[in-house]
Amino acid sequence: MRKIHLSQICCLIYLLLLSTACKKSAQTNDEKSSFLNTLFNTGQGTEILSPDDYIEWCEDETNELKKTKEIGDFKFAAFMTPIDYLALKELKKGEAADPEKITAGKKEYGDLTYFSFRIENIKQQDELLKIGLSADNDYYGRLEYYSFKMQQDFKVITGSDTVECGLYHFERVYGLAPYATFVVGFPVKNKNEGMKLWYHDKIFNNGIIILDFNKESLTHLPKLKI
Amino acid sequence: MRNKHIITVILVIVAMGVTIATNYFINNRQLEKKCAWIDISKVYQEFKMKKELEKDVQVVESARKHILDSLELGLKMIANQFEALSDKEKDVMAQQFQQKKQEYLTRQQEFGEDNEQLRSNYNQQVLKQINQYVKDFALQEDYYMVLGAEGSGALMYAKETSDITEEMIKFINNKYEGTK
Repeated sequence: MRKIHLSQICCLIYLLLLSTACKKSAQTNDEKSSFLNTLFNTGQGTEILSPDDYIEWCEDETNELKKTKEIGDFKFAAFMTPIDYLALKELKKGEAADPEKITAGKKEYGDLTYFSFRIENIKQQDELLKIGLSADNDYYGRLEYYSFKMQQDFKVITGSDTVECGLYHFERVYGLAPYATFVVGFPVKNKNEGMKLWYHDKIFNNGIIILDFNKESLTHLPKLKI
Repeated sequence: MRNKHIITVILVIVAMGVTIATNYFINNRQLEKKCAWIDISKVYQEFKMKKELEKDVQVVESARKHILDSLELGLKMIANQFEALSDKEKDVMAQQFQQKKQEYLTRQQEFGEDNEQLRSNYNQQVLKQINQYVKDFALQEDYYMVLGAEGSGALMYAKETSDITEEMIKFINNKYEGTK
């Protein structure tokens, strides 16, 4: 009887030791479970959503339409905005989603793939254009660059194709926010291959910023119900 | 029945021993992982952004060299024609030559400075990204120190087992391309 107790105690100690060993690989398991989530959520893309739910879905970071990268003190963020989302955002607050208005709005955006791109300094709250200026003239140089010349520093890479930026708009905030936002549009033909948004930051010397929008997140976009 | 219990106890003791040994090796590996070194020069050379920017620099420098070559050719042509000219024409041509020579020298100096500035900017951009990605790697993999060997003597000796250069190159290039 005593020996039975002894073996039971040994088993208990063994299980304790095993559990501590398992803790070490917990992180790896998390990665595996995230992979499984992706695997089983592949059907989500065919969802048909109401306007409010559609906006919420697009803005939900877990759906991977938003990508960010930090280099030094700067954060670069891109939001791939589907045309349905842009058309919905055109509506006034509280306005019902009229199918005709949505269709007209979508027509205006045409066949481009749009991104909202943001540059932000995470250490300073100053206007982005004023950060690290060495002379007053530099401010106007930056303003000119952001207003007219930055377009040539954007590209989209899909498979082996490089697509130049077809539409560019700098949203000036006149010092009201510590970031700058740019809307860029690209005539991407094959949207199902996944896309890499490419930008060369020459102003703050952060180099080439690549934000990857993978095939899975782009092919499983929900449909808008209006 | 008694023998059966003895076998169970022995089996449990063996299993415990195996677990303790495994834990010991895992912990040892983790301790070793806490500090590592990379060959900075190799990481720099293998970084995809560096290669991309290097091509960019070559295109710009080659275009500038082409402009300078054209100006130089113009100067040589004036010099060749010079002997066959009359004294009056020589005066006019000498003036033209001086102007063109001045333009050539100014451009040469400007292009030289611009090329240097461009290389320096691109170098700064490459180092900024490498620094960020090494930091990301250390945080992700739980290293408390990543040393950089550059052959200057700052790192006098390090075990080859703690060389993570290849792992780092892979990580940095994945990070750069946004795939990780």
